[in-house]
Amino acid sequence: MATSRLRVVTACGLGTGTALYLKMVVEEILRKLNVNASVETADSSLAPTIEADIIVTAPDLAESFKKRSRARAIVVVENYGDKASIEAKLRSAIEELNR
Amino acid sequence: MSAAGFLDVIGGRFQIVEEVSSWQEAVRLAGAMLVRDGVVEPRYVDKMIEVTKELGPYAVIAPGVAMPHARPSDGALGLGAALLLVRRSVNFGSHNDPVYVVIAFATPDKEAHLQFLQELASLLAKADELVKQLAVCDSERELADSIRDFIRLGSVE
Repeated sequence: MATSRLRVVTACGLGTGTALYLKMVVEEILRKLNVNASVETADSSLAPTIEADIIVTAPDLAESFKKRSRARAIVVVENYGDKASIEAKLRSAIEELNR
Repeated sequence: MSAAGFLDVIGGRFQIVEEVSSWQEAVRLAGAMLVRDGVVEPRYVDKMIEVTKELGPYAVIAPGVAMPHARPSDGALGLGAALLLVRRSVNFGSHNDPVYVVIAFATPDKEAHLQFLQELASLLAKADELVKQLAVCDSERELADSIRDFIRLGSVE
């Protein structure tokens, strides 16, 4: 199913500040990787209920998502400025999903 | 879509302090600049602290840099940010501690404010270097100049 469109959710506590930031960074990376995907933002209560392929979020929130999330994969971002590491994590999550 | 860049959104709201007693005080000081300029209602500042307590210190988004914020509905009147430099740093209980730069942020809507975010990204891409350089600034004006340089260098790459 390599041709299906990936659903990616970027999450922060409120779905406004840092989630918007992550959305911009993730969209840029996925474009570069040539991945067909939609990226949307969500707050911490909405994010786990979404049937997403990947949730991208901060460590504190990822911990709580792991128990109840409906997403297929969670990518944890410690340093929002480190695009290279965000790209590497996204890439391996996508490879995992396609396996 | 807003075309406001990082420094436009900061709008000259810079403050340098030697030290603070807690991360709450740092958020209050940064938030007070937003209240002073009518960017947020006073309750927005309380909310930024509440949110950080509730949801964890995820607002510390890069080594040494925190960006506390609350919801648009928590009393955000306009788009704006304020930058506080804490020379002796403060801990938020984050893996990205110690924090030197606290950027209180408010937006009245859920728009992406792309230029602001892009310039923020170029600042965060070199967070370590940025923090080192800002930490030795002696005036608000020097802070603004340093940041301008970083944004310019970041966008050339």
